[in-house]
Amino acid sequence: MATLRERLLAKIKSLNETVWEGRATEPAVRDWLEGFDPVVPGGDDERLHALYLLSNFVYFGSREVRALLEAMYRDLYKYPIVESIRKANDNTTDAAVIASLFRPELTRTRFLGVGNPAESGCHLLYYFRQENALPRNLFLHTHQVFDRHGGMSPVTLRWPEVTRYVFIDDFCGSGRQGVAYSRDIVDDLKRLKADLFVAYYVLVATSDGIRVVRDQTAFDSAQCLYELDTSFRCFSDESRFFGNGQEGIEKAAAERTCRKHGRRLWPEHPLGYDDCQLLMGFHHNTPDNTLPIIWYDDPDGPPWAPIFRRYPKVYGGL
Amino acid sequence: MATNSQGNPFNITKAVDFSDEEISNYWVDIPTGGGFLEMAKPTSPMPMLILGGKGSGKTHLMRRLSYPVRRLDRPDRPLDVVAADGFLGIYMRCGGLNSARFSGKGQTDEAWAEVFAYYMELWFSQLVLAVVRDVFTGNDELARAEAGICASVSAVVDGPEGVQTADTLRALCDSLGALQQEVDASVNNCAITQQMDVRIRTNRGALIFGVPRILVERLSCLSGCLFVYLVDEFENLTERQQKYVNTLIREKVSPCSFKIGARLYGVRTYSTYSADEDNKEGSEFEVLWLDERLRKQRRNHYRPFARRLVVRRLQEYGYLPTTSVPAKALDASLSDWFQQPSTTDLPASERAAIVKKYARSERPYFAALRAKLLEGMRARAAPGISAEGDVDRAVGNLRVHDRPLLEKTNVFLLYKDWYRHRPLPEASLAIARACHEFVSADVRTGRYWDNFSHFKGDLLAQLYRECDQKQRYLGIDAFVDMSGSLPRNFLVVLKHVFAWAMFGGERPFGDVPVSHRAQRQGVAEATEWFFRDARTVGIGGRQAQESIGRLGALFRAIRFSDKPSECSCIGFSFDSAEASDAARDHIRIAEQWSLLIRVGTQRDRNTERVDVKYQLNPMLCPRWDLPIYRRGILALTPGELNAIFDPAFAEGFQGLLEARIARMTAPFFGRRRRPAKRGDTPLFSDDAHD
Amino acid sequence: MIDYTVLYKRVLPVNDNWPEEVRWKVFISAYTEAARVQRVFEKVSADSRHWLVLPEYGFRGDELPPGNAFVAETRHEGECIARFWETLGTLGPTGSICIDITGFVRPYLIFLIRWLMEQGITVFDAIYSEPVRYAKRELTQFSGERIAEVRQVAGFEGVHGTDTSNDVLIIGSGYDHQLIAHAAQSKDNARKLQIFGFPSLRADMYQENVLRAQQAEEAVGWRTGDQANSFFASAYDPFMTAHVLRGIVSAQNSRKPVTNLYLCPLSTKPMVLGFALYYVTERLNGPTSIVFPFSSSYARETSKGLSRIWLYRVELPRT
Repeated sequence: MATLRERLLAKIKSLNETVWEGRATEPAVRDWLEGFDPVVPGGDDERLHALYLLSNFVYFGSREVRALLEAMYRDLYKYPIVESIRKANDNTTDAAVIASLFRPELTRTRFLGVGNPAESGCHLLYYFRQENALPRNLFLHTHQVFDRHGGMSPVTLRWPEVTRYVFIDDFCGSGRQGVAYSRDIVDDLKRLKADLFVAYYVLVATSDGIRVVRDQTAFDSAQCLYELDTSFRCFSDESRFFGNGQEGIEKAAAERTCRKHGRRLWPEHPLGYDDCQLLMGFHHNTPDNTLPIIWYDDPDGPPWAPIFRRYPKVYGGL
Repeated sequence: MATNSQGNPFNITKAVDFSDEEISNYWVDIPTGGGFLEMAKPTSPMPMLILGGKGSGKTHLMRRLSYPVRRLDRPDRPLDVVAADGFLGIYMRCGGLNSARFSGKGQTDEAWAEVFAYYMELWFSQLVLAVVRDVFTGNDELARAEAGICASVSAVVDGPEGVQTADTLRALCDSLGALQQEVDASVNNCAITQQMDVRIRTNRGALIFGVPRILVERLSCLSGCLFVYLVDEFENLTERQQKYVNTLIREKVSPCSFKIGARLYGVRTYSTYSADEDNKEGSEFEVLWLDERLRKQRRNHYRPFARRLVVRRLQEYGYLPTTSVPAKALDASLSDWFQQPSTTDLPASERAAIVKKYARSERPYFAALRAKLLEGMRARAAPGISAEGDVDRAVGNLRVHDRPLLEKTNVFLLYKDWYRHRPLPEASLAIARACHEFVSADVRTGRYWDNFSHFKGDLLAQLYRECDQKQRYLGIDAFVDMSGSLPRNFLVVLKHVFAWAMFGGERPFGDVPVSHRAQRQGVAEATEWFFRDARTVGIGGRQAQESIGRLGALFRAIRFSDKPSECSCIGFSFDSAEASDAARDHIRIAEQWSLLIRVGTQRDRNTERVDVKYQLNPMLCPRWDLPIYRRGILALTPGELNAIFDPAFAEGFQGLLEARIARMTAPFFGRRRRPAKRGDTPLFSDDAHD
Repeated sequence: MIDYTVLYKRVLPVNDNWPEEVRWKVFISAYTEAARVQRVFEKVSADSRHWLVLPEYGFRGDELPPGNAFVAETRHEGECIARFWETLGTLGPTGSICIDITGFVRPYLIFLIRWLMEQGITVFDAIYSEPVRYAKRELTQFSGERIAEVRQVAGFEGVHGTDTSNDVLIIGSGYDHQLIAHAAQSKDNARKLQIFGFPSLRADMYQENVLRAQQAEEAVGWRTGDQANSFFASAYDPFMTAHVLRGIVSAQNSRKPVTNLYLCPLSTKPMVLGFALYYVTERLNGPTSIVFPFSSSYARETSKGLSRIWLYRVELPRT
């Protein structure tokens, strides 16, 4: 008996009460929908399609992000080490033995964030450390990796005893950042010490992005907790958001709506950076690979009330 | 000031989580005699079956009878409490037995019956002994008699050493517990080994009845005391297991009695192992229908209780100050906090809105009337209407510019007159006069007043629908009344209303009343929960639910027809002899799941015919845009009853519905159309309804 | 006490061949129409491969798979597994066994774990294959509408006491909110705690899961997602699940001793495996039971595709 609009709103209310941390109250949704055009005869119902897209948005709140960081440490970093310890020691399950062999490995590991200290990768390091109760000295900035001796003699490793460097980030969309880091840091690391283990771990990655990092960089391991295949790309042929026979909702209309407004908001990437067309966000930020209509928020740009805002990387540019 | 972070004060809705104070207030209000205790007749040796729907407080009632709670009256001298009460309530939950495991695993049903009976002996006796030990805190009569009691008890148990040598109740209890664990181990391992070797060490009833008897004989402080086994969650036992408990009830021995607590659907059988005889109500046991009793007795008390409950919750969650404002004032504000509808008419603002909306077009009910009059005119089925001018005048007479509800009443009366073949031009004039008189002289008698007062709820509902608005279920009293005396339902409604208000960015219980929208959405969600939650386990449940769907659709069609035959109709009656077995079954299931409420039985003095009356649970009514108050009762034909409640006949439902509604629909009112000759009088007689 | 999180788990390739050493003496799988279950069955290297055909899926004679297919005649998990086991022949002291848990109806899987332990098996492998997606996302229906009863799973019945003042029910909450509600209602007076599969199998599944679970909120009694009463365990990791359970129970006991503990795993099969593992390792012969809302039928195919194959090496305590 309820209309589609009412059902979508009820779904958003449920999400708001459970996992969206209250970010999408009705007034906030209303303000956001104002950015879309009202219905004209023969035209798309932009607001209905926007509501539909919003109801499919995947959001990881504070608690969830912390749980992901814990899983990242435990499953991506720690477990492979524990596995090899066990295998090298007759498959022992003796906790004391395993711990005594794991500890030195951990002390010879350093964790770094991707991006500069103000970006989310480094922000996450703090919670990563907290959730996994790790000592502070295991965490570095990228500039602390090398000793440049004031430019006088060849660059060396500041911490020569370190055997593992682990770079962590929240999101890998195009893989570009991973490639940049590989070029800027990993190549040098490997040159200075060939048997170093250098890893790139992200919470969420697109299939394309993680493949780029795996194929085109010097990282020994590139892993993610969640891999987004093309079905997460909103308007792809395999899109998981359409094709469910939902009456009144048309993929083409949704795409038109997003492109139209996206073009105003971010002409170079109207459907998200690198045309990723994602519907995903985190407590601390929304990736720019997500549709701009969701997150765009620039006081100097076209007026727009986002629903899951993104804190811009560049304020006015410097 | 209310903020999101304070949380929803109505999140916790289950009685099991109410504070003792809330519960004692709830129960204290019952007006008859000694209140709740009286209702359950704890000192009566006659066993009682306490049947309650979800949220009826059945468990709470039973727990209030149990010793640990009775004892709170005088924790230092529990014996005084028992002496004053005259009974000792031994409470247990059948769910705790996890008794489904006493079946299958390669063993026979007979073997399981033995094991289960033995297990119950051990379980009950441990409970009794633990309670009695506590009763005698601070009294040494037990200490002196203990060894003798243990000896008497162990005499009816075959070994083992632990039981035989116990000389304190505690040791005895522990030994019986050890025996119980032995049974558990054996029963559980049977799943793996397919073998069971339980040694049955006592006869049926030897401990359940024997232990209390021994205690009463040997402890003078307990003489005359009734041991009441409070067996809750009866629905968790299988049919055979229930049969066993029924046997205990039938063969009970003084000083024991039973109170069995079950959901409405919870009793699977009344049969016993005593020659397979059934226990009969009135002879082996009596029944307390908790929901019904609450509905009847608490009508005057429930509303104030519910309102106080809200106030207390709001205080607890920081939305209201706890002391400075007097309770009465807080209670009064409750009405203010929810935008309340007027019950007599549309508020002025809404009237103005309708006037404005249809400023340039005809109001929808007039447009519909006009179309029907024209159609009737063409078919010569509109008495006195032979030209378009007649239509214009007939419609025009009924207008009352700024009072749409009166216009609706006028139209309704015209349909009624039309049904009775009254010449319509004259009828419409008469209606206009009566309307005018009603307005100017505030007349409270006569046809106009009768119809207006009876049908205004339905007419308002029609008006909302015709003007593309949602139905209204507004105000705290509406929520209270929807809940049918069950606090849980009431809290669920409030919980959802509050959640929608918060989602909408409102600040409930502040300066601005909770919006209509939030109330409406909250009610809709609560209704949906109630309907969905009642989807039962097992056969028949789904079908019962579907039947209710058909019933709701019928009531809705009636409410929104041109000439509803009943006002505020959410009840129906039928001749029970004419219902098919399946229909009767589904009605019974619907009642057990509280989808339907029985409102009466009428025995016809002359014909032996028994008419049974039911109504929809008011919690469900918003689902079909129905009122929550019952007035009219729809007498269903056997065909209709079976089409609604028996899936085998469901195919015919739509046709029957249409036939019934046709009789309420202009211009033909279900009469067959035939070319009419001038001067003809209709051949077909009217129905009895009007 | 064993640290569950060190137990071996790995991902096997979907398309490429599996390593040579990945082979077993006996391979068991529960038959369903899900393509991923059938693909794995074909891919596996084993001396003998066996299908277990469960009655809840309602397969007719002409729908059965070729090869060793045991058709269960009884619906009781204990009897069914016991009879099935007889058809496998002797495992021998070095015989390795692998079970594809993907297609199992949960109670059968749970009982099988206890059964394996009773046979003296201390190590076995389990496979779980992940779909790409479920058929209708959050509207996916799993169990048939006819839920017959909530009862203990055979082999997981505890020795319970008469004191029920602090009973706890831990539900591994899946998509089927009706099952959650039934389980919760069957233990009305117990405090309900929920474990959600997170990280979930796919990025959007956790959110869908919570949306569905919210419909059982009234029965559970807490606001869904209430931090004090809901927990996370990886949806793909039985060992993490067992580990989390241990932590929850320990925390509950230290606040106030739990009088009777009930566990109800309604979520992913790896989590179900984790519940069973935790039980047989730490909670046998005490006041703990695994309870389950048994359905008389289950939908056969609710997923599409095959995206990942997990292999777990489960270590059981010695009897």
